[in-house]
Amino acid sequence: MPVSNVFDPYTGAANGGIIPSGGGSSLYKPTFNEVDLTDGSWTLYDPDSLIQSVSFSSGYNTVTWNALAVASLNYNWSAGGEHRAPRWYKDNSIDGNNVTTMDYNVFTSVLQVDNSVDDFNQAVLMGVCIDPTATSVFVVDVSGGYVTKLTGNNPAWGTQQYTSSTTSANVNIDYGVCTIMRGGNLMGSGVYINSDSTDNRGWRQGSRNSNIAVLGSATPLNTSVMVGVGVRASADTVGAGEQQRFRAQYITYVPDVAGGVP
Amino acid sequence: MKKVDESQIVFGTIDGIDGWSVPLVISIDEAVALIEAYDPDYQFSPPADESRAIARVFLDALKKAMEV
Repeated sequence: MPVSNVFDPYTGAANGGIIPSGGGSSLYKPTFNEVDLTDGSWTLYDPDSLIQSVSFSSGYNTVTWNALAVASLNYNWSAGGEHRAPRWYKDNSIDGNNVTTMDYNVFTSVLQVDNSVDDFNQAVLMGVCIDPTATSVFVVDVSGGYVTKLTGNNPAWGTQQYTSSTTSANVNIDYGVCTIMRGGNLMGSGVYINSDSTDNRGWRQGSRNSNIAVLGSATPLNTSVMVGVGVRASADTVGAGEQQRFRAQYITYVPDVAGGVP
Repeated sequence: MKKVDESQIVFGTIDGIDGWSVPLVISIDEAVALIEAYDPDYQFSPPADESRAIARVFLDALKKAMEV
């Protein structure tokens, strides 16, 4: 397994897994951060107590649910005005700098799901948000890579933007790569390519605009990295003890856009 | 002027619906004229010829996309 630059080797500060502050490291193929929801760096926000447990092995997180007996669009990241689905979060921080809503933040995620753990119609979201402990979509302001899976079918990977999503599926696809760009107080957009792990050939591609100006005006608000779990569609329920197993990786960085403007 | 932005037709799952997203582009002048003439409270608005013109642009693009 590759070593992730979670901490800058030159300053010791958390750096989002991207380029160290010194030493001339390249932007070519920087290492992703592996999401281990049990490593102590993530905080769970679960307003309706739907998470029974989480474990991590071989790069994959296994989430075991309590019963979600009454279906609701509140647990579908791709619908409605409320986000009440469980999510883990941490600061979106690079070299000790918390990425704000005014920073031009480029965030790339890679999502995989374990198709053998196919208990319910599931979804996984790996992205950036403003307030992960809120439930109003306007306050959460989340966007990122997204994967859904209807039991017995191929997963569909793509991007979630605010309270909507676009995804694509194909039998050959093993993982989804998504890059979002947010900044200047706008939520921006997401693009994705879904690929085959055998030769990394892309089989599907797509994009989605958020068309959203985030909470506040030009006042910088801190952002968080978030891993959300939920149901694929608003009519879906989850039985007690049912599981989903997924791998999530990410890189976050902030180019000096203002510094590049003459 | 109205046209479908054909290179931007998406086949996938959009908000949980499996299908096509077909972006329709309408010029400002035509959009203004269409909206000025449209009465949402009158059951025969818009007129059939106007509706058919829009529908044919959409359906021609959808048919082409589905036949690929």
